[in-house]
Amino acid sequence: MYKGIYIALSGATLKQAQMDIISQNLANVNTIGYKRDKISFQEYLVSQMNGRTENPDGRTMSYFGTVTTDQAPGNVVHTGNDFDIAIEGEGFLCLENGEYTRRGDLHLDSDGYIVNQRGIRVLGTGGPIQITDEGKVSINSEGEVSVKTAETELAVVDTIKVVIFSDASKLSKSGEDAFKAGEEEGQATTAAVKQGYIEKSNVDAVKEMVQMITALREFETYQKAIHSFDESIARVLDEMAKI
Amino acid sequence: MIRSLYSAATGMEAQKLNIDVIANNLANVNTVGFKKSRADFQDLLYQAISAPGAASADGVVIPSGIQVGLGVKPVAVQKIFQQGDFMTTGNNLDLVIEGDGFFQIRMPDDTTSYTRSGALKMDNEGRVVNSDGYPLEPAITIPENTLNITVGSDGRVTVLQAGNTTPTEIGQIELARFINPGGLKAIGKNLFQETGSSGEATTGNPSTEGLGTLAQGFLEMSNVNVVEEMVNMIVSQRAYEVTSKAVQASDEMLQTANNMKR
Repeated sequence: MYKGIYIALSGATLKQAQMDIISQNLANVNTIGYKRDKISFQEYLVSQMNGRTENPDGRTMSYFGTVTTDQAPGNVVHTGNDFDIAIEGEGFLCLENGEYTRRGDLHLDSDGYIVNQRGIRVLGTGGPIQITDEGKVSINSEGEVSVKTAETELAVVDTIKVVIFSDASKLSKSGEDAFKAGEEEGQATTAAVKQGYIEKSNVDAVKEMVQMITALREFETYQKAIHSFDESIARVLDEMAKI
Repeated sequence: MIRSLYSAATGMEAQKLNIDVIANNLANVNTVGFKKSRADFQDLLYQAISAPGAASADGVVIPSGIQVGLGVKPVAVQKIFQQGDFMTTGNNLDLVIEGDGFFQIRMPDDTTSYTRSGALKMDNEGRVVNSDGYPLEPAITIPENTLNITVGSDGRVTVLQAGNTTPTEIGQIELARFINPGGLKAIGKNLFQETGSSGEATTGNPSTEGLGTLAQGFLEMSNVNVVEEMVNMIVSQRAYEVTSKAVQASDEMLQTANNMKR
């Protein structure tokens, strides 16, 4: 007779999981290159939980579905830094440790390699890109990195490798700004690279607030449902057999 | 109840886009050759709870169904190609197009971009270039020892060189026009590119075939009207506020529904 409480409880605990995702998104509303997460739920037959497969009685709980990443592009902001790049359209930068990222605030490390903010080298078409000469670095819209020194003309050092995936939502997050691919290899592509711009988070505060309001009100509804079940059980136990 | 929350959220996002467009217009109020943008919105699809035109019990057609809208979405942000104001500068190479037409600029990757900004300059070889150094097309080179450059209203460029008494014609500026200039793609740097929706560029000499005339010594300022943008900003801000009230009202109604059970 207590199934009803557990069905309502399954909804309430999942609302808490949804609140976790929402607060994670809101905490990263200003993180460069962050992609928001979405959570989805699925039904779960109560009779399946008991091992019965025939004659399902139609009662379903709510069960954890999947957490997917929304790969929509974020706002592109102009910074003017030589080593800030933003990719226009689809595509990811390749990092030396096999991860992929959209986060474009790069800089040079002490050996002259182009690295991201964690110090991992960014791959070009010929391996990690190393700038050996002192000079002004320009990155054109095809991703070609060229250096102009005081003595020489503009010379192309390498091209930044940009890959696309056929289903970018299948990438899994590792850290808040990089993704790991599954078995699928990224296809190299020429995407439009903009120097001097970075892509900020794609979290929309209004959307997250509205989801937070609905999550809170639904949680309240489940709490009222649990309370009703509790009262009716108390009524059964205390007063049913009273004369 | 939940439907109203999401509809109101789409309203807030639409106003956010509107403010983005207005802020871009206001930031470029002094940019030579800038054309203001305007955001257009459309309503989202309607959910028909009872379809209009359906028949009721005894064959009578109900006059209007029940259709609930689901919000708003932006459908276009287009450039408005009104003529901007002229500013007199007195520079020999500052040109303004009175009427239709765009200057053609040859980009480094050999494509052609179009611009209304006539703030032209000379590079170290005497070629006429725009402020980024991209040359005008068809290319015009000013020879050495030039005392005076004159650009006629029909685009003919004549120079007076030292030692001559009569000016010599060195080139002809051509303009391009499009069937649908609102369909051009803005790539920044005051430049536009041709797209499938703008139509093909038709080039010609100024003051022929509907193209405008050139005037030397003037620049075309931005066509942003600050008063109009301020009014749009006020309307957009109040619309944002009132849709947020719809969100709050839906929230309170949900709370009331939950509190029916004490």
